[in-house]
Amino acid sequence: MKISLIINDQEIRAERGSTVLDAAQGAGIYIPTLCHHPGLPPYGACRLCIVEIEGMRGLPTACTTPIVTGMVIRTETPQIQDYRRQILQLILSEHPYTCLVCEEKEQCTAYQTTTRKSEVTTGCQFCPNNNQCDLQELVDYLGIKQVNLPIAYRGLPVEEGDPFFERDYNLCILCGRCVRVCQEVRGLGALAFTYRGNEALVGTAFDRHLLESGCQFCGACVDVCPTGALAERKSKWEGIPDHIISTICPYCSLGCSLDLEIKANRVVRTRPKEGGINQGQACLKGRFGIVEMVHAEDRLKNPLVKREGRWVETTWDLAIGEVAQRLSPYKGEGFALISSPNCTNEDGYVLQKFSRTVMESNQIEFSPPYQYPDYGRLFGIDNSTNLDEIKNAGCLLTLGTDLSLSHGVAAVEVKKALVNGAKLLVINHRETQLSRLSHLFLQPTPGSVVSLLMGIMKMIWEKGKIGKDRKGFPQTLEDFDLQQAQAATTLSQEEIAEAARLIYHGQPLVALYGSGGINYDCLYALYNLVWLLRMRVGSAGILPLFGANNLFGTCDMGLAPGYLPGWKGVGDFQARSHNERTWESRLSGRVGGGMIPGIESGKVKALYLVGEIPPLNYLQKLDFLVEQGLYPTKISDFADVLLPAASFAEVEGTFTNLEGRVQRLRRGIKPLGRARPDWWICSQIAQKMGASGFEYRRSSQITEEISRVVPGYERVSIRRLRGKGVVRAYPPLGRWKPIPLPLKAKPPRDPHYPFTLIAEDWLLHYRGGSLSKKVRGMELIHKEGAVEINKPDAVRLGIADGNMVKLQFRGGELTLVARPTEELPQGILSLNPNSIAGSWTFIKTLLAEGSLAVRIERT
Amino acid sequence: MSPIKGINLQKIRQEADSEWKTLNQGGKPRILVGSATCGRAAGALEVLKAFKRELAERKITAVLTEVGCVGLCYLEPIVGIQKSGYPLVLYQKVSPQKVTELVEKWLQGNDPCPEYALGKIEGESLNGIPNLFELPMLASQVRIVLKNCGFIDPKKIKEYIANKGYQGLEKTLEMKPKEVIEELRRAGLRGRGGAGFPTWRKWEICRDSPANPKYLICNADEGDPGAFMNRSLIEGDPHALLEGILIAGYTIGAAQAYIYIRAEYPLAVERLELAIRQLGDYGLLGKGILGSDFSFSISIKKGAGAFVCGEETALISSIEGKRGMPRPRPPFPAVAGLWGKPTVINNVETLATLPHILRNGANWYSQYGTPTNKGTKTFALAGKVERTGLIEVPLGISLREIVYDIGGGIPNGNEFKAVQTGGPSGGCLPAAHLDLPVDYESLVEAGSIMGSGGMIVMDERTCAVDIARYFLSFTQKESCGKCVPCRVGTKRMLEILERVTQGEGDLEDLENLDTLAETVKNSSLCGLGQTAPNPVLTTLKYFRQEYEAHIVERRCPAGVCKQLIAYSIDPEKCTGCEACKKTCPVQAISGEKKGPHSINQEICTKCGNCYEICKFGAVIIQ
Repeated sequence: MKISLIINDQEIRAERGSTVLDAAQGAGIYIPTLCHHPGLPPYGACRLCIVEIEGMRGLPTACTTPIVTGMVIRTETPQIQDYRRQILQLILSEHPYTCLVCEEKEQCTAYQTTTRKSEVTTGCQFCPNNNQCDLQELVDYLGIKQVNLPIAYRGLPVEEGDPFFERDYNLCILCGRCVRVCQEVRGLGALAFTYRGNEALVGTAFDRHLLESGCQFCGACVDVCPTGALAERKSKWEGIPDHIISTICPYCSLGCSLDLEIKANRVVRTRPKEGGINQGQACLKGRFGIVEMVHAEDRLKNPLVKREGRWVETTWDLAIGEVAQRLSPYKGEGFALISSPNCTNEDGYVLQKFSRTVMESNQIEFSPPYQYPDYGRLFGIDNSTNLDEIKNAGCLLTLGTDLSLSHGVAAVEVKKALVNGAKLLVINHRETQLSRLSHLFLQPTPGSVVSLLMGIMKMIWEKGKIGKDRKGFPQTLEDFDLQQAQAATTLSQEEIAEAARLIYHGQPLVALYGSGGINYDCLYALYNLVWLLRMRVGSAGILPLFGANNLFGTCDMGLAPGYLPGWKGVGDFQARSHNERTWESRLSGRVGGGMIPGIESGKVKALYLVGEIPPLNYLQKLDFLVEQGLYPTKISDFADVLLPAASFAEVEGTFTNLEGRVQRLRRGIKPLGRARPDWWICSQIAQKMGASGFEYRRSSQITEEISRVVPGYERVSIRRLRGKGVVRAYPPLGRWKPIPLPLKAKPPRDPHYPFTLIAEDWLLHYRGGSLSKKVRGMELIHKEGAVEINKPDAVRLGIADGNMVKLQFRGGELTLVARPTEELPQGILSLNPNSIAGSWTFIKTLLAEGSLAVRIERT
Repeated sequence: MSPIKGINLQKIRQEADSEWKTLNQGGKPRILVGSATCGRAAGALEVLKAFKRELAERKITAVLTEVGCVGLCYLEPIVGIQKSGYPLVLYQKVSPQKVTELVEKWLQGNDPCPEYALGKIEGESLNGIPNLFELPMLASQVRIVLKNCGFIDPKKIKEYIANKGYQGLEKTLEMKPKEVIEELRRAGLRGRGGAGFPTWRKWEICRDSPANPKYLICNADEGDPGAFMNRSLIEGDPHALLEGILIAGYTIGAAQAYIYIRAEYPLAVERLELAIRQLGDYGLLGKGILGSDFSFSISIKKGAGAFVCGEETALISSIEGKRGMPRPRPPFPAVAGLWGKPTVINNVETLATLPHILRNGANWYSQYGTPTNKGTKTFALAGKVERTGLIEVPLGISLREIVYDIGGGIPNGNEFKAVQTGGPSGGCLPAAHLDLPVDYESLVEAGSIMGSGGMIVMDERTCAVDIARYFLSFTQKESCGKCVPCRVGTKRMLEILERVTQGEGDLEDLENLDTLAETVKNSSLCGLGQTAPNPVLTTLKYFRQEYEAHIVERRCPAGVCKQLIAYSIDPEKCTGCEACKKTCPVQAISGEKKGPHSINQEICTKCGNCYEICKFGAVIIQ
């Protein structure tokens, strides 16, 4: 509802409940501010926005004062301007101001007439915030030509001990924006005001490094800082970008909207974009982890073919020709395709179409693999909730996920939920950042999660006296022995009961699950729990919190083993016929005996590798291996042709996130060197092999075809993909009903393999490149290629930080670095599956089972 | 909440009354030792020990009580002795030796020792001992709020009850809250914390705010250095405050009160904790007070050493567990305060006045003070006056009356220079303003503030520039740092003042000082910043010539600023007694016995010891 008021003799109408500042800005009236920020609650500290309001004592601040009908306000009287000048001069007395008031400043910017120097910032020209600084704007607006106060430079050492950005508190004006964004928007509070009065500074607890203070390096503080006090290290001297393109982040399956800041065909900085599903927030990976991946020095820039054991640069024509020629003899079961979950939907669609219609092979996988490619089978009806609903949950259950690390922005939503009064129940094998905020944290022994969930369900069932139907799943619940749950999980009856209570009383429930120590059975159990709650109240949802940026889209496009596009089984005659008609090609109904056995046995001779796999010795058995990607990898030693692909920043296309939301990418820069989009490369190969149906010139053509061909993507069109994209429809797979759980007795523990290894994926890889290797500073936060072990266990086994250890398991072994940690309970080991070199079987078993029994010893 | 019917404190009152009667007329002598913090600082605990010893040795049964402070702080330790059948007599500057005499001569004998006596309370004449309340320091005072201090045992709720305690609460509980607010409006009580906002209005706003629950906060932070009115009241008569809290809580519809008291008042905290426990024991706290549906609880929250937390929104932040920084208003706490709920914050004195108003009525209260500034106010009178202490006077009384009639004028024959009201954020008013009435508006008009009641008198040996620097250094250090004008402005102002006192200022500094002071005063976020420049502004206005002397002549007229003065010895007056030579900490004085002495300027640190010790006035300051 709008009300009337008068500002500077002008009648304005503004929404009731807004502030004087909102009203003025809405009417185009400028009021200077510094501590105000549209994303933060009003603060009233800088005092620059003071105004005269008739009937109110003194000079209230416009940013905090709510409007009242009939208010009469003056924003720019000579008296107010005088005070503003004084206040700005006070700020400047403690901030290097010589450049700000220098007569030469315009000349200096244009012609660089004064001497340059590096190191400490003592003036605008040496400051990373030059030309983007709120203080510069204010000095101009208020017309300040000199400062009548002595210079009181603080002389503090610049805080350089943390990765990604520096903190120079000599430039800080104590506006409090960084403190407020960290405490109130991110819910973290790594930064706060310390000391008092004129000694006040922004700092961390006990002035420790941010690395020790719980900072997650999301960059929100850097983004809201009005001066150069917080400066991103990598892009410090880039200045203002030429233009900004909005696209979607390529790391985790949330699909946050990012702005790519571009200068001379280089991405210089990435920032979260307002209005996306991430609500203007980002995580460490999307904020600081992109530039160095896109512009890595080892980016493949030219097609390469191997001649006499050496790589030779060649043209696209020649490379494509070679690939086409060498693949042709292997149509059918001799050919296999491994795609990447980082590729766009368009890439994936074309790749599988090529494999099926041209190479006549259904031996398609994607890698890195995830253990739930079949989740679509589970959640047939559109049951998954969306990110927006997390903050409205009454109870939040997180299962097997450390979402603060893997899907950072989802953690912000969880914090919002906590502020709204939600109860948080964390079930995980190790402590996470959120477990410390949880109302209940349960650590069931690995492998017993199903028992725990069954126990919870049984208690809810009994408490809720749900239904009289005793057949099927409910019968299983009735028969389930709670003692068994306790014994298996080593949790107490009270703990299980408390969990049941939190869930029962906390409707609606939002369950977030990851991949840490979780297998299919756990997932079915969780699904059943949600089914149970829905039956009773009708309001519970699940969100899968795992997977690379386009894992879900990749699966939808038919790159999961045994599936056609739209989650139709390869054996599904009707679906296959439909595809045969649209693609005008015969399709095989055979899946084959599995890719790896195929390669090992020699049946598979040609491999088209777009994803990343560990370097496997039996790759030597292949006749032909073409690798398509961004960087050379360990596989490249085995490859015959290397084709340079374009990164996400260089292409148009779409990603599908964990909500099933299809979002559009926009090309920010031209592909580096001669790199080309994956779909283009594959189409060229297809055309060279004489196939039709691959004459794509733009990715939008592929998007249109997808909407015609892939079930569920009917509403997806370029026109509709503005804003937050379009949620694609899940193919309906039948009535919602519980899945029977085989409650097999656990096999006795093999004493030869006393440890349990659990995989945790924090999505630190992109197209075969590792963030912790290419992005400077990332290795301080995420240590890769190591197995983590509980400290007392390590001590007992004589293993120190950095020692090489051997992991033995039934079927193989692995050698890698060990890192003792206090975060793991005894008897449990953890590693990030993308980061190890190892056997294919190892990875797949580990991921399928959720955990693996191993033995560890020093080498 | 409906008024409560049929509450019956009768039984307790009867017990209390009869116990009080026994105490006063029962035959046993009653000994009251003033052992609040000020008394203890003067040695009251030794006096207490002496009494215990003497009474035990002489096998005398007496009621020995630690009481609060009657306000004549310059005469502490003060002891009251009530011998059965005789009026209560107060003795001044009691020492353990005097204790022996008093016990022997008066308790065991017939000599009331009038040479040690200060005054007596009513009754027949006694050896010429004057009536206490006719003494010049007390004659102009109207002790309403401080009535019980020094006369009842603060540790016994029944003594409070016997002295009309909780009658105000009884009356209140029979009224509807709206009626209480109306009574308060007619009484014209204004907030005694310093702002002088009409109390009834604040309560009404809170009551009318739709949100629940509502909270009552008692501001007992008393951060002004040198102010101890609240402390004395709580140490001497804690139930006066608690009764006021209950009255306020009932009226605004709150069920929980917080007393935010500074941690530097441990004795007061102790007294409060005991008094609150007693309230609970007597059914005056907790669920269903005295069988009604009014439920209330009181919690104590101690401060952590920040002056700024006396500001109401910073105080609220502190109770919420956050950094003590003020918040912008609106919204005002009465609408959205503690945890966003409607909250009334009242000063200790405001609350302690309520029982009297509700018990005696608005008309009675209106007879004191002026029509717009009704009632009385406590002040801590300190500095260069003969009689320093805690006084309570009707508003509208003149400064002259306070300084000269009550305070006894300037000692040592020195001249009055200025009086500073309102603590470190107040202004210094010169002699021209001595006839100013002490009320909220007049003080503000003259450039000062009422504040919480500090009043410091200065003579010609106080340097106006130095005093401004001194007060500003306090407020500057206590600034929370949130807003620019206070955080940076007071620091820049202090730097200028320091240079001026060191003789390194120039006239441009005075202009800058003035501009800065105006900016800080008019654009700061909270009361700390808005009032911190007051000492500077008033001294610039009334004592500009002193500033100019420091700058132009490099001279400190009051002889205070160390860099600008020099101590020397007048050879005519010097008797060669060597007292100064012996007291000099740096051996800067040389001279033979009986011969003139002299001070070596290179070594002299200007500590002033020689000046203090010379009985012949031979040491002069230039």
